[in-house]
Amino acid sequence: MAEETRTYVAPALLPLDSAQRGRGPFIWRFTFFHRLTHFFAILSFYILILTGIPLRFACAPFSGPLIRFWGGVERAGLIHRAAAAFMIVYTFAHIVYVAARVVRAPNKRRMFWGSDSMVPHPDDARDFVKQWRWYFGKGEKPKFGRYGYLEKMDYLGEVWGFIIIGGSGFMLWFPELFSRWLPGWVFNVATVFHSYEAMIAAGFLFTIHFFNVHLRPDKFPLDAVMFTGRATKDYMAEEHPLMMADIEAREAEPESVKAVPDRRAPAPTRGQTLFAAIFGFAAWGIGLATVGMILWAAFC
Amino acid sequence: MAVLALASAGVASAQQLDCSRCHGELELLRQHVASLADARALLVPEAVLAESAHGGISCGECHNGFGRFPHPATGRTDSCASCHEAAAAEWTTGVHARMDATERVTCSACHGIHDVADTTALSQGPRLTAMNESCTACHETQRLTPEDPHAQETGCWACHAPHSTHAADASLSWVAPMAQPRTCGACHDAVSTVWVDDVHGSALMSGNGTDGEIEPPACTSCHGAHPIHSAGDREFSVAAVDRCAACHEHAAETFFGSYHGKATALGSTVSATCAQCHGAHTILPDEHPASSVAASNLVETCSDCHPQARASFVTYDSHPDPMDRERNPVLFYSFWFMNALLVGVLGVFGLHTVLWWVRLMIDRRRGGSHG
Repeated sequence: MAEETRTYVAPALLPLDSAQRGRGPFIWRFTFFHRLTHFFAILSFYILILTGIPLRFACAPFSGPLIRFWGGVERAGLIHRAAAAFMIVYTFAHIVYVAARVVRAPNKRRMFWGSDSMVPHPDDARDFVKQWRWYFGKGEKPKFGRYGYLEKMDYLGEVWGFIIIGGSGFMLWFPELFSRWLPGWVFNVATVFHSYEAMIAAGFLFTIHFFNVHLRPDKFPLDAVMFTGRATKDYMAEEHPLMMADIEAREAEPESVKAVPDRRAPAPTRGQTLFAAIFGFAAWGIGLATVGMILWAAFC
Repeated sequence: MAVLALASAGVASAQQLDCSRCHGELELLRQHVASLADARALLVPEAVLAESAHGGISCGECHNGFGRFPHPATGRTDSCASCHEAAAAEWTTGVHARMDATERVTCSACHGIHDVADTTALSQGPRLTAMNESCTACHETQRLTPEDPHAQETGCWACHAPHSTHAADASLSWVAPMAQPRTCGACHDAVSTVWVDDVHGSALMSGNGTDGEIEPPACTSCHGAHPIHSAGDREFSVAAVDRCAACHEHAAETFFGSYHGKATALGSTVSATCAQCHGAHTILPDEHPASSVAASNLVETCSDCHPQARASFVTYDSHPDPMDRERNPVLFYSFWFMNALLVGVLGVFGLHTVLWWVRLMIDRRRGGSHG
């Protein structure tokens, strides 16, 4: 038990990753499957947005070169559909994973309610108001559990986006088939929903999500917790105090050890951190460039 | 009669021989004139005349009074018009006849002098090439590129008239808009005969619209003139979109807002352009029952590319205008809903983000715990 009291000293490379700052030990925040799903989400979303955006803004000066990069508009369409199919596959894998987690959870209530759950909770609305009050110097910053309202919103936003973009995209993929049941104007409407929802998603992820998780002054320049899966106790106490308090409270109760799995994690290796940094910077670099393209195209 | 004809041929042959004794020998001519250039000008090798369209005609039929040597001063040469009255009369109406005497393009510019070429000779082979070269010697910018389908087998005169040549924008020109169906139709009659019933063709031929600001298109409006494109290739049908857009601005705008237009703009080789749906020479407004875009014909038209097209499929609006509530109210409201959602979500959470940054910077400056 000496580890628990040991002060963790970050290696020289690590100040880049805000999840490795402060005192340890490391706490598991995301499982391997969470991280893999998020990695797949980045990969497929980027391919989808970079193959879709030249079509959305066909008149913009960057669209021609981008389409040539993909090998023509038909090839870009094929890659777009392949990435969409991949997204559908891992989304269903994710649904199965979540279902299995619920089935196998020793304490199912914790999956749906409380500081460990990602299901929206009345406290989220309260936290949202509290956050705005905090901005104006009225009161303390809200204390979040394992998932704050922004993270729940990111997740639910992706669910909404998946349904809207995926549904409309599927219709536009097989218009002849869907026209068995739907009138033709539905495809006009589907086109609008598809492209606008994609712009909302890209605009939200590449500005708001990036700022919230990577670029705000207390996290800059990178938070690699989604890539390494773990963060220091100090980080967790700052970002997810209710979850941290829960872990500490339950560690004192030997009986409930089974109910809450041991969340202490080994420090991420240098290789993992390096990968996270390179991948993370590449992702937000491309993301910000994409925002630049959208703004540029807005004037064409 | 036979005797007369034979006698006449004998005379012609004898006279020809006589003339060619001097005019067939450059060295001999050189001894009687001041320079080699003058000698060359007078040189008429017997074979040149024999192979020409005037092969059966004696020298004397054009050149009168040169029978003796030294040639008497009374000798004169007839103009071409003395035989070819109709062609000469046509030529005098054309632009080439009205030029300054020193620059005037006369019969010989195309037909040659002693190597006289008739219409058949000027329609093919080296004489055709040579004549086109002589036209483009002055009309440099109108030279056809080798890729032009007309470059090899068509003389300039086929479109610009052989004798009554006029400037392309002159009303009497063979390439004036109203004249094009006849001029181009001389070869392309499969197209010109159906085109006169087309919305553009009938407007042009009836003169409707020619007095307004919109001039109905003629053949060259879409196909160009110098160069003319092969209509079969993708490059042409993509370029044609811009030509249609010159008048049909809104249709072009909504086309480029649709999948067909965007994919076309990005270089798709299969996406529909104007002609794929509307046709090319049989374009009719959608309310006309024979139109390819009439409601009753849309399934057939769309199934060229979408074999599974059915009645509900073709109610898709290929020219969607999300700003037009009348045309498609659901599209209109969807468009505004998504715009509102975009502005709302990014606005609220954008502000959420900016204020967060401000708060953290204030706290950091005060040495707060969040910095």
